[in-house]
Amino acid sequence: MLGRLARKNESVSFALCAALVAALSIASDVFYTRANLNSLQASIAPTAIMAFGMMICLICGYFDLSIGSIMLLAGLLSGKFNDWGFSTPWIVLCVLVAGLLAGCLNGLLVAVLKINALIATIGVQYIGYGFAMTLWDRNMQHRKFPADFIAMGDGQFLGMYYMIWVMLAILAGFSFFLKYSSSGRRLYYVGGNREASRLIGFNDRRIIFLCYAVTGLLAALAGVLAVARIQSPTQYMGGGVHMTCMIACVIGGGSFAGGKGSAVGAALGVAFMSLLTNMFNLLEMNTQLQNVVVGLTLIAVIVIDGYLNLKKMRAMGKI
Amino acid sequence: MTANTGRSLATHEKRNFNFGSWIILFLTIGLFVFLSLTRKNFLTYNNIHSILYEVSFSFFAAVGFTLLIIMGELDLSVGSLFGLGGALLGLFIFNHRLSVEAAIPLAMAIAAVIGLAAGFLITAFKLNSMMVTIGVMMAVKGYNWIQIQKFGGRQIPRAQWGFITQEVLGVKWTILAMVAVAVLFELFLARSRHLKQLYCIGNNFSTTILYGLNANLVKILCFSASAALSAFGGALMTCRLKHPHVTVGANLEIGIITAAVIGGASIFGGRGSMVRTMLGVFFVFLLQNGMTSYNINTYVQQIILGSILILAIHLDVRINGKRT
Repeated sequence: MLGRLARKNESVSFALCAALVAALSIASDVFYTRANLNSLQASIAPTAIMAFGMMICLICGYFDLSIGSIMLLAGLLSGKFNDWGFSTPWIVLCVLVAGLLAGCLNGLLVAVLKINALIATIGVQYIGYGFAMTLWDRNMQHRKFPADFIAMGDGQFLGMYYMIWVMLAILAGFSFFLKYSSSGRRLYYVGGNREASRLIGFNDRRIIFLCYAVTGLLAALAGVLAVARIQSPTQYMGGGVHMTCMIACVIGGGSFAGGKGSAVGAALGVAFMSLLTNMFNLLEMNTQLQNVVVGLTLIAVIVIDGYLNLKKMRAMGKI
Repeated sequence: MTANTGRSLATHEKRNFNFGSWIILFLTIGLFVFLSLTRKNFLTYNNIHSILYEVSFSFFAAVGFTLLIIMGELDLSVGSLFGLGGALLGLFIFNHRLSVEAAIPLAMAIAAVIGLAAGFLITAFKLNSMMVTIGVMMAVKGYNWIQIQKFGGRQIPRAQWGFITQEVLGVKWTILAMVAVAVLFELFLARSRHLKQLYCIGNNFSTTILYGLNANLVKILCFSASAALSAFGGALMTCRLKHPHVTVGANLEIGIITAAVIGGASIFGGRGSMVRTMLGVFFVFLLQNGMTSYNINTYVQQIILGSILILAIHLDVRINGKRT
């Protein structure tokens, strides 16, 4: 039982998280303060919600680099809708629909028009950033959201933010979906062997389209929760978050080759990345230096993933 | 064996002038005529000269990119390596008191090593070149920020940047250098054995290996050259601005991919030409110049350029995607 558990991909990320928590609690005396734990929660929840979307794309063998821009767009759109006097449920609904549409655009480009996933989503990221920033104006950050909107990000239940509970609910939903539902298992088929899944009769393009649509929806949800937590829209939201999610998913057992990964792994990977950022912040490390570390980590993760894939292909005699 | 325009390796293709592959020329001329007719200050020597001057720096980032896209690899780190050229130039001039003649080759050498490492990882582990170079892009961009913040807006002394303003026959020398590099590469790509093999690698990677070509080494060298040339362009750009700045090379990769793809290169490899890439870069800058003259917001420009990129890639998939 223990041996089987140790071989699972999720245990690597779990061990990494545990090691970081241990190191942080020894090295820093502010780690266990309420304020630090709160900020840790607020950084884990939105990123993890986006990472679930990234994970289902990765399982199919695709990527979504546009989630950062969709998150920013969601944040600025909620500010805009607030200016127009929408009530809280309408703001959330409209923003989620916008996220879904952005996800559908990705799906259209990748699944229907068959454009390379990386270029298409980088293009959408670029367009989305431009679109979001046309909505932005300086006065936006001084206008107040309604109290019930802020409560969504700031309210706590049993000592944890609502957004953590939302994340846990989505985690449970995705775990069940990916493990026990037949539509969830199809993602692994599509990612594992595209040709075979097509021969069985799966509509792989529809599956990929839906994955992108759900990813857009989740990114918008994360954007709304994050903006409710910081209480005003900012133009810096979502920068580099696609990298964090991608690294987190691969550390948590996903693979760029597709066909692998789980929702729990994505959440643990995000927890690891957030703890790492938290450690950098507690050590007062420069933000740009953190970017250097994230970039190098991404390369390391890609190389290790590529090496493992190569080994697997050799073992299967495909090379 | 092939016409010198389309340059696919199919033997049945004997047309001398392939209309489709020179579409960039017509696009550029069309945009040029449109802007000359609608904007008053557009068709002046100074304006055209200054657009070409801007293009000549960014073009150096596109040279290696074109060589790589011919082999079916995409290098997204050109933008940040362009910036690295500037950051390292500042580092060597301010902190190590080197002259610009020593600083630029050193910056290029360091960039070349980064490109070499990225190319090695990509070929040795058969990785997706875009993913790896996104990582390189992030790491290098972070480093650029750290370095340039330390300089705090210090100016490069006139003795060091003076060479950039040299003119030959009333034209800035970088423009002439750009045209010379483009034409030379165009000739070598069509005639020289060493560069012609890039098309073979792009068209059919495994067959070239069977024929005894060290395709991986060629790729690694091209990644290295791409990085070094990007840094060269960035260093020249920094000399023009007279101080290292973080916006040098920001989002350049989107413009360069667009330029290469509307210049007839295919992301599936095996196609591409240097002169057409140069026209592509010129087209992108012309478009930005035109949009600015129409007072279009920078962010709207970003939406338009991104849409053009996706449209160009879509056409590429429609036209060249069936082959594979």
